[in-house]
Amino acid sequence: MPRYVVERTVPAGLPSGPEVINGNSAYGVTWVQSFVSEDGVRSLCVYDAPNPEAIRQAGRRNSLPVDRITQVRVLEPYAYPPAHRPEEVVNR
Amino acid sequence: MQPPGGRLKTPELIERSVQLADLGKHLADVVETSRGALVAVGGEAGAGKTALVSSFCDRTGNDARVIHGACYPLSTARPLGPFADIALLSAPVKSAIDAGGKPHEVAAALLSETNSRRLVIVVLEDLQWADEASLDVLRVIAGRIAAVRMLVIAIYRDDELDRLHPLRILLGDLPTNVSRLTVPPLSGRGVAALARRVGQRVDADGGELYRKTGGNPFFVTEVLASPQAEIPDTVRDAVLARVARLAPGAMALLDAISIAPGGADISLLEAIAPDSMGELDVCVTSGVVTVERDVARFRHELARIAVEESMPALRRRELHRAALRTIAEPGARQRDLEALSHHAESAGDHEAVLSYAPQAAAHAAALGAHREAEAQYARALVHKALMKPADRAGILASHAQECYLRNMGADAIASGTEAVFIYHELGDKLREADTLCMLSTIQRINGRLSDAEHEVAEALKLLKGLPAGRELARAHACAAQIAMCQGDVPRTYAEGESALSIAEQVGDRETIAHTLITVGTIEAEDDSIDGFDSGITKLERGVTIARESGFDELVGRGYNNLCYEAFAKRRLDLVDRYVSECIGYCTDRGLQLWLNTALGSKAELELFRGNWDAAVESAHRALAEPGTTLPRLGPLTVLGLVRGRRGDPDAWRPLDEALAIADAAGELQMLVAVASARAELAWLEGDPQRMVRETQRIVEWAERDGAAYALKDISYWRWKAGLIESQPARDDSPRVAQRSGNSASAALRWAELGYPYDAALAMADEGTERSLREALATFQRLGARAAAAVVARSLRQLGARGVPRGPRPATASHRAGLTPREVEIGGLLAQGLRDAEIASRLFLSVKTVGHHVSSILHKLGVRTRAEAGAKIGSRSAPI
Repeated sequence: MPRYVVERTVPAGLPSGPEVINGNSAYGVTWVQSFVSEDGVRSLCVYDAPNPEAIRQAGRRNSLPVDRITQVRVLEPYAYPPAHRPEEVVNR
Repeated sequence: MQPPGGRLKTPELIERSVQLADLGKHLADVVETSRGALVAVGGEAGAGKTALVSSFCDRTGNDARVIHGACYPLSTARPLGPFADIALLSAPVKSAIDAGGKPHEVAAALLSETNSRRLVIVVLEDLQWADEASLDVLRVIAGRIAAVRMLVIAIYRDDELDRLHPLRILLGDLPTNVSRLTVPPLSGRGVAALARRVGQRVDADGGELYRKTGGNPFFVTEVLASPQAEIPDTVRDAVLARVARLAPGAMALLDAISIAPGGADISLLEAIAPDSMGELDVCVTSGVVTVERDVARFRHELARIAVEESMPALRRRELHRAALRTIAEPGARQRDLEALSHHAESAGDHEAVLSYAPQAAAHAAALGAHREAEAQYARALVHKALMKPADRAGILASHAQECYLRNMGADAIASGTEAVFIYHELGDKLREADTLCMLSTIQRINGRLSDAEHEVAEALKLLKGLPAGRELARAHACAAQIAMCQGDVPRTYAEGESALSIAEQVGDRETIAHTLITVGTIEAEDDSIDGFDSGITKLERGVTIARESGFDELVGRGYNNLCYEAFAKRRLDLVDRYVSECIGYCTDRGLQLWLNTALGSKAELELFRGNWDAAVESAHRALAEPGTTLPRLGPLTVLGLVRGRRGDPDAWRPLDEALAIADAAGELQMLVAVASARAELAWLEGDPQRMVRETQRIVEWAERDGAAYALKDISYWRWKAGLIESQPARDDSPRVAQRSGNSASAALRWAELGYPYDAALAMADEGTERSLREALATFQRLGARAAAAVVARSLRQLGARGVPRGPRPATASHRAGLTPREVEIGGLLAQGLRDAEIASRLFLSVKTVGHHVSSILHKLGVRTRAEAGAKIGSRSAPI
């Protein structure tokens, strides 16, 4: 299932987790994690979803507006062979 | 399942109070509001779904009338199986089925069972094994349930539905008044409570019994019913351990019962297990088997499978043989055809398979259970080497037809082709020609127009010199349809006339309807005679004839063409009517192919109206089932456009699939819509040279064929890319007005026609700050983030203030600063064309081309044409 990052601006702050998870499951959307600004207004949310429309539907159900959806791949230092790892990882 | 054994009298179910309360609430709602409801009850095999629902129904006592029907795991399901059960309890359903009723008629009969005094509860069990016709009935019931006082409880195993299981698609498709309820396994405490009831002690957390059974109530009760030192590892072992304690005669009887998945008539058992009949009571009191209305069946399918699979293969085969002999004896009744076909195959009796499978197939097809019909034909075709050639050809042709209706294009073509070959060998010209015509239809719907054309030409050749009849009329009608797809207007009229005159002579209503639809379509597009109204009239007449006579295929095709023509004239009001009529007709009759096509039109309709959520919902529904390719074109295009306009990811992928389908189809009209969508997406991404590239082929093709109609939208996007080309003549499209300095009036017309997005596009083309702001507001309201960003950029370029910042266009092209015209010339230059050649290709003077070329060299920082060509052609460096 493709992974997406969803940018949101939520003036009222984010709703509670369990509610959101319930709303998502109806559309096959899985919430992975979110990065939320200090004031709780802006967030970057990571989702697994069948397609962008499912994220929008789930967002509407949860009253979570969508600014932008980007499909993403995950890169992380441990995915590279040692020679190509950033210094601090190799010299651990 | 009820816990077996006579010791327990209607025991309280363990850990089911939430589910019972839930069902009770639905029932109370139905009583209170008089609005019916459908509850889908899912859970794994052995979870106790039936026990839950039976217990619920028992509690309602005399307040409700319960009507019950079930499906069984026959290798090929019995058409309308559960409703045949219900027919025993319901006179209206019985008369509908006896009259050979179609699914919507059976549904109507069942819904008519409501009664003002007593509420009706309909329980449908094991729907994971339902035949296609039954699922169609369920679909119709779901659509109309709110209007009647009825509670329908649909029980199914949710662990056996893969992603493309028809029931899963149906459940995903059902309207919102359908609720779901899951029956989970027991907890460890629940398992312990169950054990205590039969006087066994296990740990409070269920202990090993819980760990091994996973809390599956059926597994737990089986283990508890055969107390032994060790807990068996599987349900199968638990069942076998339990029946092993029965006398040999009882076990022999269980064997006999197990070969009939739908349950064995007592009379059948008397014939195939005469010596063991005395043990029937033992089997019943031991709790393994129930007897109801003279049919013996296992209490639980898991037990039946365990017993059937533990039988030696030879004994199993013998029992099937005996069953086959018994049922076949008095002359098979229609409802036994599936059982006969099932026993014949399991008995390894090829002759019997060849006799019963095709009969069962024809019976299923007549009821609209095309999945079962296809499977029965396929079962017979396994032994096709044993058939006489004429029989084989007939069955192959029928199989092809069923595959086609089942959306299995490749199999349809394979079987159809083989049938044609056999008829050819036999010298049966009429049947060969007829099968060729069917094959041509299948080829066309799968996007193989030239093959389709070839088949029809062959058919006409064969029929030359034979007396004119239905076959010839049909061949001309197919030829007319193909000429229409190729845009050959005179030939369409000519072939259509031949088809109509013969069809009217021989009174062939099907060919009359077929031809009216074809000719009406071409007439509606005929600008030379202003034929829209008269063409639509013909089309509607064709559809009416088809509806009256139940020519489902023609109904679907007719509506599809009506929508197409109404779209072409931007008559969304008409499209709306056609789409809802077509969806209603197809849903009632389970015509998936045409339902998908209608959903595609609905997706386009909602796209134009600016209801994008509704548009993508219809598109996703139409795309849910893979299969015949052409109906995917519209929904894929809609999906790509909505994503592109919203600035969502993954917009190109559906448009790539659409392009591949349109390419393979080889029809200009299909490529146009895809190319136009792709050009729009390139525009949204700020990539003018891609806009030119994506539309180039259409321009060349349309000029070659003189197909001006194809250029309305295409030349608009090329104009937006910066190209100045001649306009298509005689066109009243606001799209054309849009680029002739009449953007404001075009915007008004789009708005009047009900196209808000297109109105905003035209507004933006006007280019003043006021019109741009208005366009921006509309785009924002529609959620068209990408389009809004383009307009916001134009506003900023005008120096407007307070415009929200959007993303910048990701265009490599701007780095080299080439104009769209330069990009186009650069492309030809890279192909090694000389200035004079480029000039003639683009209708420019050689001198002008020369200017452009030197400008390209300058901007790319190279000195020679070859260097420029390499830089552009290699595409390794962005130009």
